[in-house]
Amino acid sequence: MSATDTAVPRAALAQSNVGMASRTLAALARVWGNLRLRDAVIISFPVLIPIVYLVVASTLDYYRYRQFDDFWARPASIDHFFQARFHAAKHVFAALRTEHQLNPEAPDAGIIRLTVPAAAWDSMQVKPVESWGHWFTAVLTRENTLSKVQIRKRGDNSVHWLTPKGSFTVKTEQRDLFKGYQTFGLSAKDVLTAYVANKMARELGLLAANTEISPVYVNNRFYGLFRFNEAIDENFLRHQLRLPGNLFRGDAAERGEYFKGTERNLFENMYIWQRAAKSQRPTASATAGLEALLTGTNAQTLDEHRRLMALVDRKQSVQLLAYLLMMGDPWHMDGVHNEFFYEDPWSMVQEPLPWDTRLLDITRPPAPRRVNPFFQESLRDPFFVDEVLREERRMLDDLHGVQIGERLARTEYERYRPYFDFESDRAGIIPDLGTPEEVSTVLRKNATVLHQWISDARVAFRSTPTDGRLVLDFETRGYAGSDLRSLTINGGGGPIVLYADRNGNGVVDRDDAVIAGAWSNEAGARRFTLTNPEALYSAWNAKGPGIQPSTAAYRFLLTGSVAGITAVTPELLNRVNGQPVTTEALAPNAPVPPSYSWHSWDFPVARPVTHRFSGNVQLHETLEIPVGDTLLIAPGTTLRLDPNVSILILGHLDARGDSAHPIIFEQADSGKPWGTVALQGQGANNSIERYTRFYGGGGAVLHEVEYTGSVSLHYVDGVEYDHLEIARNVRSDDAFHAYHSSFVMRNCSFLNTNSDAIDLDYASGEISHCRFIHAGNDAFDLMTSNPRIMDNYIEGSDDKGISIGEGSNPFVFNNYITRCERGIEVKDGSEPLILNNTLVGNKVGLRERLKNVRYWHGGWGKVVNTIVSGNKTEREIDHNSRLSVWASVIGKDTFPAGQGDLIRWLYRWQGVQVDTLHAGVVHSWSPVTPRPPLVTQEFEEDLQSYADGWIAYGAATHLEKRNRNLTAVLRPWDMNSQIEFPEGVLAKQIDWDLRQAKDSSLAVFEIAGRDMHAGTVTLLSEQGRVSMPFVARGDLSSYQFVALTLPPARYVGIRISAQPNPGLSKTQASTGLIDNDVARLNLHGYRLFSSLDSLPRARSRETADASSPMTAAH
Amino acid sequence: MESGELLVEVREAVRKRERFLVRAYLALVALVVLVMAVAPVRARILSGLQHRVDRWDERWLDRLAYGERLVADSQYTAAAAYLARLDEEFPAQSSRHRWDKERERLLVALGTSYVKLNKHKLALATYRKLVAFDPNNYANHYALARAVWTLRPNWATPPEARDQYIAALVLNPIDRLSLDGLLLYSFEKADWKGGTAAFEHYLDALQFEHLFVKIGSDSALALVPVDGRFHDIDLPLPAAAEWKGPITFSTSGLSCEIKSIALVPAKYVGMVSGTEQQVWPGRDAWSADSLRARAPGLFEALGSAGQMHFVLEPRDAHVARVRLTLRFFKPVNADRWDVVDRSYRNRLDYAGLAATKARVLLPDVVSSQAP
Repeated sequence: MSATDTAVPRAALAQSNVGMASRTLAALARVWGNLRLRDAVIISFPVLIPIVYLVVASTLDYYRYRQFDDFWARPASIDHFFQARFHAAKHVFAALRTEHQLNPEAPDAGIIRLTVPAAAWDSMQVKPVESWGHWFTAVLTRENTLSKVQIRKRGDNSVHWLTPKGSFTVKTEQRDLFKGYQTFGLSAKDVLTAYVANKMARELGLLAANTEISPVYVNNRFYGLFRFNEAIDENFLRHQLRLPGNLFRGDAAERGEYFKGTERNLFENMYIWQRAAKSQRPTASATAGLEALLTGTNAQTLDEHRRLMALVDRKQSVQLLAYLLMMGDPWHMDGVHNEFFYEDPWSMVQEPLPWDTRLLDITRPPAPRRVNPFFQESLRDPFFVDEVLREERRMLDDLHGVQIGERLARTEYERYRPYFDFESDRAGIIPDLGTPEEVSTVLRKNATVLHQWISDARVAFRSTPTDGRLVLDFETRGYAGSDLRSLTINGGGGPIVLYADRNGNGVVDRDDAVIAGAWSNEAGARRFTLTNPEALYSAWNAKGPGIQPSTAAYRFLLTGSVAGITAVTPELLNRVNGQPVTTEALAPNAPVPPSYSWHSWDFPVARPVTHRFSGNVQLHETLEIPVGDTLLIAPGTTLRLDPNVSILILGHLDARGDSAHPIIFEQADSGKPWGTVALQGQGANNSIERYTRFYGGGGAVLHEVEYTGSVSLHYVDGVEYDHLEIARNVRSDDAFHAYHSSFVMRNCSFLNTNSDAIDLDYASGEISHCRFIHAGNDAFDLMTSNPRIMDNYIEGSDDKGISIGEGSNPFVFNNYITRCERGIEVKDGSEPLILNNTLVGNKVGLRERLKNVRYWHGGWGKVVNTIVSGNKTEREIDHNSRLSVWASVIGKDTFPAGQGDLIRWLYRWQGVQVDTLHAGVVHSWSPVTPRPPLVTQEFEEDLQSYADGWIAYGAATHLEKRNRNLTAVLRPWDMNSQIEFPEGVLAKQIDWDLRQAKDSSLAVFEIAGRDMHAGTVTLLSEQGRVSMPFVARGDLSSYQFVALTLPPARYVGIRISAQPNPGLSKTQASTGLIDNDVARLNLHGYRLFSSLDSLPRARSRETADASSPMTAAH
Repeated sequence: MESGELLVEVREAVRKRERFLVRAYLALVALVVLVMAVAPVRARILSGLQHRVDRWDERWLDRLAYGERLVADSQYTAAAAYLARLDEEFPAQSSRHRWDKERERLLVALGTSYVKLNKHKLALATYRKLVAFDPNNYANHYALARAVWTLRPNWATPPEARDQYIAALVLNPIDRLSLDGLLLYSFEKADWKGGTAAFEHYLDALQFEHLFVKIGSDSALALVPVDGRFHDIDLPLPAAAEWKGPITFSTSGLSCEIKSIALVPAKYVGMVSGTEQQVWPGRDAWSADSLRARAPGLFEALGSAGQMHFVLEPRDAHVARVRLTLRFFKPVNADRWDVVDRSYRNRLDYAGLAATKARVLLPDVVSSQAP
């Protein structure tokens, strides 16, 4: 078509448009002409009503904020609320669409579902300043179970309460914890950024409360995305393997408890601290540790400062500050709130805990830009500063810490993407959540700044000839310190001596130390290389604002033939990153500015001393061996200790007697006990005691630390005891007590002890070939300890032979226990392996129970090749406990052995080899290298994963981790599809490449079922499948091992099928309704053991073997 | 004119001017939309609205001030009625409210009115309400204790007064009013042990106070425990080389005793360092403000702005640090000490009395009578 052809239609089109426009205008004119005031008002409603609504709602928002005067409420304005509501209004349709996708039934372990009575919820929600501290009853839904909980408002400032998403605290019943937590907070503030900041504390190895992100549904409707906070309390301590001790909480402002008229600074006012947990020891002091902490924090002398640094956990403090710097927020633990210190009762060391860390740009600190007084004082310590920077470097090595934070943010953001979208649609009217990009930007910027700090090792230097010597003045000026490696000296000749002028007075005197080194010639100059580089520590000024580098002056003196020296050039390396340091010039005769920091040379230098005892020694007062010193006790020495006198060893103990010349500790006054012989701290590692005897000890309290044993170990590793004998101790709880320690104890005797013979808290080691006769309480009392208890003879304990409690998993092998009140008691989440023991003639042979509800579960003994017989009561097991038995005799019940391979593997797993396989004590066995499993799967409830990758189908529904199991509900009749499934299946993908194995491997599953008659465990490989059927006994407290021998192959899947009992679903004749009952399958875990080829086999077996899988019984 | 006729007339007037009204109305709507769309204008208008909300909200303060005026004017009956009504309506029903302190003022004024009106039960109920409102405010416990003590019948020693004094001292163990009350209570109850224990608890209570040290234009600050015991202080304090004049110590209004003061000279690059200069004891040139010297180095506070000045010779060298040893005394007044002193004597605990006396600076009048 030509241009002329198109011109006509275009003109026609234009004419037509003009016509249409004129018609429209005419119509509008007609409308305008007929428009009446009433019509105009109606027409304007869609515009005016939203505006009026926005203004009124914003004004009400503002009025609500006006009821508070906190940091968040003060800057509030009606205009801000107007904009926020306008933003939300714009996104209301998008939000509604997104909300549609949110499913409260979604199988996500992080979702929290609450049902709250409407009146209670309204009371919490509508009136922001009411109902404080009031607990409301609610119901927490967890799959098929409903738990009664209490909820209350949380937080004290407006950001938590004046938005449509309020923070609150949830508290469960003591016996019905939610995934191990009794109390947890749900915080609406800075959900993603605060999650990353606080989660990283744990990721970086700090003692810190757990945090997660949780979508919260209230009354089946999505309420908001929250940050889940574990409460810092006694439960937290136990989770973190800390004995309950004083947990000082300085969080008055955060809790809205503003103590009017008193000093607000927590480090100046001891009386506004609270105790979130309390030491349960009768000798514990309430606040002495806190008082010492505050006194040390306000140190005015070096001695007071050193006392503070000895009082706090240095490693945790260093890590904590390094972590806070990385988060850009050393400010929020600010001396007014967010302060937590855990006081370890067995060392009285205070551990600072992070709390409510924010993710901030470190270059833009919020007012008042000061770290708290504790960090201010800590940072006066040059060694502390040095350690902080080294820790920082470790955290930032290859941006390791940054990547952790980015991963956390990205993972959670993707996991809850629809929720984040929904929340972003109502941004402004709810607290900000943050984004992964924000997290990454801030972390990377902080990392860059901290790298600059690490590299900032500036040193100024001047050499000045004075009265026949050279004064070498150094001044560190950067964030990082330097090492003086060598001095290059031009000119001069003859011998020269280098001194460290430790008192800095410019003359050589007796305070000054000669510095060793080697001379060499280099390019016409002499070079003095220091044998040990001298550290020139940096100084920081943390008094604020911010944290700035300060100065520290160091002075060296060159004496001897210094005439003719024209130049001295120091070689310095950055102490943290090892990079060369270029010096600046110090102005001549300039005054050296006094530093706020303590000088590293003012700290006393320890010189190790060996203390020796021999012959007969009487101690009239408590002896303390400092760290670095050694106490050497000669064979045949007898130490008589006056009443209550103790020996506290922070250094090394070497007490090696022999059978003819034992070392004896005994009472000087036969009627009164001495105290304790205690090893405390890592300085006492690898101490040795052989043929030592302790008679009449009574425990002691030294430096506020209680030593409950006449022999005590606190935080010591690698101690060796051989032929130790403890007898007739009085007053003290324990004859021997170990806390967070490891040791080996062989051939020892505990005779007529006052109470427990051996008490282990968080300890490990081996106790073998020992005798325990007439313990006043337990022969062994274990709390969260995993020792190997082997070949012991226990007789006549007034309570338990072996008490295994509070999360202990010991290996109990080949012990003979008789005439005790209870032979073995397993309780509170403990899972011991009890192998080849004989429990005879006790009042109760084996007992399992839940004693301490904080541990949530009862005991779970794995009893193999053990005889429990001839006891007044053979076993007592409560409904919270479980038992797995194999090849054992318990009373009249004999349990079959199952497959021989499994038995062998159990022995090999624990590193023992027996000549004959039979129940009860074996007469001979030998140690072999333990063979740990290649793969272990256990199930712990958490908020991250619902079923750890397992899926269910067929009759199996509602798969979840619960009570240390993977629990599946088997519902044969599906109400929706009206289909009956004869079988339920649990399956998981795996990748076990066993093709290189020379022989078969073994997979062992621990399973229980109820209302199911049969099942099969199948391992699927590329070549085929290996199956093992099992028969459930119908009792969920009785577990059985199912073992599969796996030929070399690559295994890709696990499939566990179970057939529910027929007739679970039946139609009621009277009503015609279907009674849809369910079966249940619990998988406790599984282990894969490597190739069998290298295993020595048991030579024979005396008890009957069985070809069927091992069964277990309650 | 009847209303029906008026309506007709209005309608007629609207009808006659309807075109104008429509235009005006639509213009107004457009203006509203425009105002809300232009951020600075909107912010200005909403700010004005906000100001009005603030003013309206502050009506509670005006009402409280009126009630307090009634109390001040001794119109207790009117005050009680007015404040009781205000208490019911007052918005601060929780101590987290921004006007929690005002609510406490209200309750105190109301309680005072009831006391003056001899309505003892109502007065005590009001003070108990005050404690319940914010149990973390020690002053509330003290107010209740005082009310219980004041309104006690027949010289009784009501345990609630003791309990509330103790509650106040738990929150603020250095509150002298509560301590006085507890001492008096113990004394009247003949509980000598309770009295001496309360005083020892007061002396042992951890308290830090600021010590300001000033030389020339430089100053430094130390936090010193107030426990009647000597403490060493080592303060970095860079001062100008040409510095002249005294070294000044400000004592936060506390009595104190100085054992020693020394100045540590600065080091100079390449030079031999000077020696420490002792300032006290050894110099007589000193003066004090709001402090009275009771003995060499021993100063009794006369006000809240106590200062000591030690005159020094001008020095060429910088001063790097100040090292001193001093102790702060917790305040003790004559009446209180009399009760404490008699309590110790009644217990025949002379050793305890001596140990306590060593940690306090006794009021002059008492110390002169002491054996």
